[in-house]
Amino acid sequence: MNNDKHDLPSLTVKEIMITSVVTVFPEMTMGEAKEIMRLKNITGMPVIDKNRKVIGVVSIADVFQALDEHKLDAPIRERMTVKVHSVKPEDSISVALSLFRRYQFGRLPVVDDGNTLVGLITPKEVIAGLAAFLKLEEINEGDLGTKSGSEINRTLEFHLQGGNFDQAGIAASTLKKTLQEIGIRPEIIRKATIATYEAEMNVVIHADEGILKAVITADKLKISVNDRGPGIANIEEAMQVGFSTAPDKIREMGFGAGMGLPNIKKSSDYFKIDSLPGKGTDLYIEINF
Amino acid sequence: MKLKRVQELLNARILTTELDWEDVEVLTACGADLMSDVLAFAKPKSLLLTGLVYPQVIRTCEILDIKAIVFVRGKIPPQTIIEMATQQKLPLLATSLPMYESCGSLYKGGLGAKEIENYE
Repeated sequence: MNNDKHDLPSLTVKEIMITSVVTVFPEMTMGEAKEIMRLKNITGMPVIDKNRKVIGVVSIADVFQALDEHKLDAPIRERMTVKVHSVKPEDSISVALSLFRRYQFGRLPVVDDGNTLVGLITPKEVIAGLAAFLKLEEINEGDLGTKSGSEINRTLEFHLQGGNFDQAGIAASTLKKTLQEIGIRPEIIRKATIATYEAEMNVVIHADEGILKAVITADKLKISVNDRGPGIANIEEAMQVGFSTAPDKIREMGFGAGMGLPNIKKSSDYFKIDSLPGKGTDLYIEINF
Repeated sequence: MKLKRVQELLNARILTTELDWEDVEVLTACGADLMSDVLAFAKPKSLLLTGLVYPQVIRTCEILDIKAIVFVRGKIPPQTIIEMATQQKLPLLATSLPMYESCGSLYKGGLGAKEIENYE
């Protein structure tokens, strides 16, 4: 995508959002959330209180994690993501688009000034809205990322929380299992899981939160990690073996030796990192099969 | 080298008592307290020797296909970690020997010597 400034359509969120939103209450269990997601075929839901105020979001990644820790009995309140990004009905579609691009969220709750839930949008609504604006008759579902036919195309998405060390490694081990199922060569799986694990650790050690997305295509694995956090002031310095800003607590756990980014680069066939100090870091790598 | 032989050489104790471990085969070993170094340098089907007793050690082994762990310097991980390893079918051993002696004993016993020759 180029960086030219085009005027986005003057569409607002209100015009494209879904109004009948599937929601859950914080007292419900993760097991119930899992069942609802399965039955409704959705990957996440806003968590609301009795007054329809949005107090969190529960995603399929949270369900996987609960499943992994045998915590499906736990109330959603304890497992949901509480730092919720949302949009207002009167926001322009570009606000939603930039949030989706920046964080790769699967969905954004739409709330009024009192934080009451009024709707929901996913990238699908944004694309449909743009397509309507551009007068494209029909958008092929296949163009939205799920190609059919002989080509493999699977996407795994994980929400990573800063400081949550118990969670670090779940993306890497889930990805490993998925690649094994597909029948990818062990040495490629090894590179992919090492890079993913190091990237996860980086977010958990340094950032507030982040999204790790792994897209498996027929010939390569594409991993993007977008975090919100302090960013990296000097990327060249951070790329040097042995350079680390990790605190002692992290070093006690055997990390923070300044090997993370060099290790990720070594494991990948394409490596790109961008960072905005004070905002966050975007990492993108590819590993060829 | 079979894990049974590793246990004898290090006079080690098995922590994951529910697992069949004696015939597990390891090709070489990696002694490190830095998981980042393990991630960068360890080879598949290795034995890991470490003094770290954090859950990250178990995760790292899962990711790298490491076959077993020996905790050195008399370190014993908490029960939750032993259970985590049991679930992953990852045998855990513990020895009171320090890292240097542990690695030396295994190397002298023949573990990994060939591979290092090839490496050089």
